[in-house]
Amino acid sequence: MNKSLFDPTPQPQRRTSARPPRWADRLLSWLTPTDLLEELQGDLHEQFAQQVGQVGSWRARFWYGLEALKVIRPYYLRRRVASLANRQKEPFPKRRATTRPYFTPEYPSPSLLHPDMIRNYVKIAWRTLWKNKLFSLVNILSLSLSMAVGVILFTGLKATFDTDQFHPKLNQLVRILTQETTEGVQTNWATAPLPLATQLGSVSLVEKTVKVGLAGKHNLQTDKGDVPIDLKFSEPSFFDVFGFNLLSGNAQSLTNNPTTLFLTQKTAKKLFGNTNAVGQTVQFEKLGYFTVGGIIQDPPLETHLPIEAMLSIRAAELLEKKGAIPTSSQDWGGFKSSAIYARLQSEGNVEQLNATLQHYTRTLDKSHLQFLAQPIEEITPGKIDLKNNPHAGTSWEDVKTQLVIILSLTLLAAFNYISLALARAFSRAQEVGVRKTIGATRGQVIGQFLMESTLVALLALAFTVPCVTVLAHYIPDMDDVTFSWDIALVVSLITYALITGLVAGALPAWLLSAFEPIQVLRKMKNIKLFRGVAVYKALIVVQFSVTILFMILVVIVADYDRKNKAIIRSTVPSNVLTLDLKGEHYQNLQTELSQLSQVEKTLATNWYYEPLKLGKDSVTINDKTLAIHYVSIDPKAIETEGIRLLAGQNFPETMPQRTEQYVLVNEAAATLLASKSETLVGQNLLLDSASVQVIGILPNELIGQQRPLLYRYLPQEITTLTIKIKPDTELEAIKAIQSVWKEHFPQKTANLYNLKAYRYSGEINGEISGEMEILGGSALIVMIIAALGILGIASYSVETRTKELGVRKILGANNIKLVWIVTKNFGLLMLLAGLIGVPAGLFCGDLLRKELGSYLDLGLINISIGFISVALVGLLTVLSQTIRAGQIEPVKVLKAE
Amino acid sequence: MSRTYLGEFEELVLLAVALLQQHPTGAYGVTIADELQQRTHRTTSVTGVHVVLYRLEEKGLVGSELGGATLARGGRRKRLFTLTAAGQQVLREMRQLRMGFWEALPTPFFS
Repeated sequence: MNKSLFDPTPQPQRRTSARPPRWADRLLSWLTPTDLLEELQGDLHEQFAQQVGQVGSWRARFWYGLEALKVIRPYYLRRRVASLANRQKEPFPKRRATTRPYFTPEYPSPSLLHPDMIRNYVKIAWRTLWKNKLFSLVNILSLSLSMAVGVILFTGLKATFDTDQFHPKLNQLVRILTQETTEGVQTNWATAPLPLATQLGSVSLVEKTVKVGLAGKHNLQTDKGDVPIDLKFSEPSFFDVFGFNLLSGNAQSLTNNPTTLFLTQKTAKKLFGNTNAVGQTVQFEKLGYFTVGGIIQDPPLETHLPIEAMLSIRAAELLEKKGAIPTSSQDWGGFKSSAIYARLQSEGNVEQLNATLQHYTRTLDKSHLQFLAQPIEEITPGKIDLKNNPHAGTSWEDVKTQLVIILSLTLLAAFNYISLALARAFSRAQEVGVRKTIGATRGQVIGQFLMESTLVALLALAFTVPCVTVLAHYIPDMDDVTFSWDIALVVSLITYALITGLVAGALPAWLLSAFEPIQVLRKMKNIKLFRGVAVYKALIVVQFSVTILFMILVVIVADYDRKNKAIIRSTVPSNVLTLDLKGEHYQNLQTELSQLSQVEKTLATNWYYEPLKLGKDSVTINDKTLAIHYVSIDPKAIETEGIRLLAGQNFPETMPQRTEQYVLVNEAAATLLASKSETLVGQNLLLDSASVQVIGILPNELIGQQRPLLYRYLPQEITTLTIKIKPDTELEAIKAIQSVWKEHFPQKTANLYNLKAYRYSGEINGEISGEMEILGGSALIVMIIAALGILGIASYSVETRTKELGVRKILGANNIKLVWIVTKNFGLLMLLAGLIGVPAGLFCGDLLRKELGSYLDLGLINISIGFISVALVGLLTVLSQTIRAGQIEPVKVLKAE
Repeated sequence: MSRTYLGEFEELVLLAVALLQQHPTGAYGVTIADELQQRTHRTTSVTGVHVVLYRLEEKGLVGSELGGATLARGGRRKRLFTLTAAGQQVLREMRQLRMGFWEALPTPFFS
C-alpha cells in the first residue's frame, strides 16, 4: 500500500453549523472498526459537505446523524467486536487529534499499556524526577506527610478487620444476642442470660458453650493504692473455644478452685512488675482474696472480648450469694452482665441455630426476650446497633467515614502536586511539543505524566510507612493497636498510593497534554498556557489561610494552657494530701486525723476527686431558670486554701446540717445570673425548689474549671479528705494517716496521695495536653505542607525569571532590589491569606471560647503571633529560594540570547 | 459452477467501480453512491456501499488503496477502488450470460 502524502491540513472551519454533529462522529468512532474509520468518516464528511450545499446545514446534520446510525449493521459490528477483542485494550481511545502528527508513523503506535511502553514511561519518569531533585523531594515530602495520616487510618482499619481473627475455627463461633421487647420497644443486647447456656448445651448443633460473666471494674488493693481491674468470670471451655492461650496454670483449676485468678501478661506486669505472679495472693475490694493460678497470653490481635483478669463461674456464684455482685448466673433477668458464646458443629449452622433459638424465647415480668446467634466475625466491624457491646470497636458506619476522610486527605495531598506541576508547566511544555511532534498521542503523553505522579506517590509511600511504624509508638492510642502485615494491607496501601498519584497527576496531565506542538515550539513567551494561570496562587492562599487559622488556634490554646498551669502552680500547695473516702463517713476520721501532730488542717470536699463529681441543678432567679453545675464544699476549705472572695463572705462557722441556707457562686455563674455580679450577694435563689441565699462570690479558677459553678454544702456528697500537713513532715504524716485509716476501715486500703505531685504532675512538668498535641500536630503538618508547596513555586519563579532579572541587573538594579522583585508577589499572597485566615481564626477561636470559657485570650497579641509566625515561616521559605535572584550573573544567564 | 455468486446490488456496485475508475475523481464511497443514486433513483447510503465494496474486496474482485485527502473530508484519506482482473472476468461472464438469455428470447417479446 502506498503511503500517500497529504498536506498537514489546517483545521476545517470551526463553524459548528457547517460541521457534522459531534455525537454522530463520536458514535461513528465507537462503532466503526478502527481500520475502516478514516475512509468511512471521510466519505460521510464529504457527502455532508455536498448536502449542506443542497439542503442546508440543519437537514444535512440530521441526515448525517441518520447516516451514522446506519453503521449499526452486522457487518461493521462484527468486525468492530473482533478488532476490540484482538487488540489489547486502549484506555484512551485515539480521538481525532486536534493537531495531527507531523509525519504519519509508518507503523501504528503501540497500545498505551504495552509492556514496552510502560517500561519506557517508568524510565523517563525516573529520569525526570532525578533531573529535578528539589521538586521531586518537595513533592515526595509533602505527599508523604498527608499520606501519613492516611496510612495511620489504614492501619486502624486493618486492626478493625483483624479483630478476633486469631480464634480457631472462627467460622463456627457465635455469640448469643438478646432481643428485649419492653412495652413495644425493642432493644438488642450483646449479652445473654446464663441459664440459657445450660439449655443450649443440649442442642445438637452446638458443640460447646462458654459462659462469660462480665463483672466490670473492681478495685484490686495494693500498697500503692487501688488498681481498677476489669474482671470476667468464665469456665475452662473458654480456653478451648477461644484463641486465648494459658502460658502457665491449668484451665481446669477454674472449676476446681473458686479462689483461682487468671491474669493476662499485661495485667500481671502492671501489678507485679517482672516478678513471677503465679502463686501470689491479691485482694479485691468487697470480693475477698484470690490466688493467681495462671497467666493468659496477651492476644496477638484486637479482640471484642479483652481480658484483664478472670475468675471462675463458681466464684461468681459464691460471690452472688454473699451479695458482693448482682445476681446473674441463675437469673434470666440478669442478662445484661453476662455473655454466652458457642462453637457450632459445622460452619453453616447459624441459620439453623437461629431457628432453634426461637424455642427458647422467654417472657419476664415486663419484657420479652428473644435470642439470636451472631457469628463472631460480624462483631467487628459491627452492622447492628447493640447495647453492652463496649469493645466491638468500629462499626461499618465508622469504616465508611474513615474511608471518606482518607479520600479527602488524598485530595489535600494532591493540591501541592497540582500547584507545583502547573507552575512548572512552561518547562514541560517544550517536552510535550517534541514528544507530540515525534508522534506521541495525547494518551501517551498523559500516561507519561501519570506515571511520574504515581512514581512520586509510591516513593512517598515508601518513605511514609517506615516513619509511621516508628512514630506509632509515640502517638497515644496508636501503640496498642495490633494488626498484622499481610498482602491485603500491602495491596490496599499501594492502591492508596496509586490513587493518590492518579488524582494528583490527573489535572496537570490533562492540561499539559493538550499543548499543541506548533504553538509551544514556535514561541514560548506568547502562549497563554491555561485560562486559569492563577490556580496555583489560589492554592497558596488557601493553604496559608488554613495554616494561619490553625496557628491562631494553637497560639490561643497554648496561651490558655500556660495561664492555667501558672494558676495551678501558684495556687496548689505542695504540703496537701488527699485521702479517698471510699464512701465512708468522714466525721470521726477527720477529728482523729486533725489531732495528729503532723496535720495542720483537714477539710472535706468533693473537689479534687476525679472525675470531678458535678451535679446539676436548676436555678431560678428573677423568673430566669438556668441549669448550673454544683460542687459540694466544706466551709473550711475556702479558708484553708486562702482564697479571697470577690464579694460577700464565706459560709458561717456553724452551718445548719439539715437544710441548706446559703450557697456560694463563682464569677462565671454570677455573671450568668445577674447583670451586675456584685448585686447578686444577698439575693435569694430558688435552687430546685428550696430557696437559698447567695452569700459570696468566688473567683473562677478555683478548680481550674471555667464553667459556671455553685458551691453548696452537702456533707453526704463529700468524697475526699484534703489534709494540710506541716511542712517537711510528709513521710511521717503518711504513715500516721494510714495507720489511723487502718484502725477505722481495716477492709480497705487507703488511697492517699500528695495533691500536687499526684493530681497535677502533668500540668506542673509541662506535659502537653491531648488537644494541644492534636492541634499543634495538625498545625505543624499543614504548615509544612504549605511551606513545601511555596518552596517549590518560589524556586520555580526565580528560575523562569532569570533572564528578566539578568537584564534588570545590567540596567542597574541592585541585589536587594532583585530579591524584592521576586519576593514581593509572595508577600502579597501571604497578606491575602492573612485576610482570610485571621477572621477565620477569630471565628473558630470564638467558638472555642464558648467551649472553654472566657479565659481564652483573643487579643491582638495572640492573633498577631499566630499570623506573623506563619507569614515569617512562609516568607523565609520563599526567601531561601529567591535569595538566589541576587546572585544572578547576567553574563551567564544571558549568554545564549 | 465455480463462478462467484454476485447479488444484484453487488453487481451494480462492481459496474460503478468499473465505470468510475476511468474518471478523474476515482471510484470511492461517495462517487459510487452518487453514481448509483443517479442511475437507479434508489437511496443509497455510503455505509451500505462500503459494506458491499469490502465484500467485493474480500472476494478479490476489486482492489483498493488509500489516498486523496481533501479539506471537505477533514483531512481523511479515501479508499480508492479499482477493478481487478477477476472482477473484469466476472463482469464479462455476467454480461455473456445475460446476452445469451436475451438472444434466446423471441423477437416479438419486444414489440
